[in-house]
Amino acid sequence: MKKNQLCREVKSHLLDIVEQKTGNLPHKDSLLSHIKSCPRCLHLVQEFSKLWNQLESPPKLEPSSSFLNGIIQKIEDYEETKSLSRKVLTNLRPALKVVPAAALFLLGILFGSFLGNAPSEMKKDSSYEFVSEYFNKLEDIPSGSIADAYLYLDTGERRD
Amino acid sequence: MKSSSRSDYELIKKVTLKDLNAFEELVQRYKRMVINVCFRLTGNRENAEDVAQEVFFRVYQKARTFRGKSKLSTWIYRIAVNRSLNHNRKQGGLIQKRLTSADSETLNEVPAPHHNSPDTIFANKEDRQLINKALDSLPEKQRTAFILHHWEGLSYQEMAEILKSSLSAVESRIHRAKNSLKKVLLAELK
Repeated sequence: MKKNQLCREVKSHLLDIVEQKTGNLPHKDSLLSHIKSCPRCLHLVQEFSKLWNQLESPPKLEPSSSFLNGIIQKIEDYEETKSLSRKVLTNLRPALKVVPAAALFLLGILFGSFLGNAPSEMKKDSSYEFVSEYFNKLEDIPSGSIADAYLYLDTGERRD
Repeated sequence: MKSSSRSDYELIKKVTLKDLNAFEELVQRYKRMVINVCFRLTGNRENAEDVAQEVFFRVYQKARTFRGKSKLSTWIYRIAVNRSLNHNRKQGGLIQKRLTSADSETLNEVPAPHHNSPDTIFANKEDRQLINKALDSLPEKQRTAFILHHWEGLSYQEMAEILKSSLSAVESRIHRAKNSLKKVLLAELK
């Protein structure tokens, strides 16, 4: 294998070389002996290996001394809020019992108000229009006529 | 660390009954694991402790939902991973301000044993920045998988449970993550 080709092979199998998983590599022996003889490849393997080893060693952090207290404080606040809302709910329970009755009452008012608006709906009704037309025609009866006299007898009032 | 005789299952059962002593024991048992996974996933040491506290608070709140089908540590890991990733999303992606050697003195970060001479510290700081840059370039799922496997030392099976993925998906993410990291680091070395 030519030198350039071996350099390329080293680059492409760099991870296996650094992680020492070269068992299944083709031309394993020629690759490893090439690394020893080629300064460029040796430098690359060394530098990459240094970085990769750092990558394998994780950064570490120790919890502060107040870590546990911070959590306990959060829990206490949470339990306090929870017990407070439970208390409020308990106090509200008698009042909450009235809610269905109040809802029913409101529903009644709404229904009543709907029914109260019915005459305006009735205006659109044809029977209502017929009656109002009838009374309008009575207005047209000339005074002094027999019909007028009849109306006068009926209502006891004299029309002008 | 696990000096107490009480098992994880016994502890979490006590926690469901609001036993704060049991909860404190549980925190002592898992605090290092949780704070470190939060630190590694958020990449931000300032917020890692806050996120870790949220994780334990969640454990307290949701203890009742732990069915014991998986290990307690797996369940806690899942909460920690989800909280950390949510934190990252809320912050609009990974926080760029990363740990440096100088920061480690102020925030309880444990320095690696080879951090001795100033030259080494400087070189390691540069390398660490390079590594962080490479890690940040990974998609979220690949980055998470890489960190859980390489830094937390979790098995593929545990990771599949934590990430709610299949084994093959986990394997594939790690493989792709390693190849992407190799490419980025090689580009930096040129």
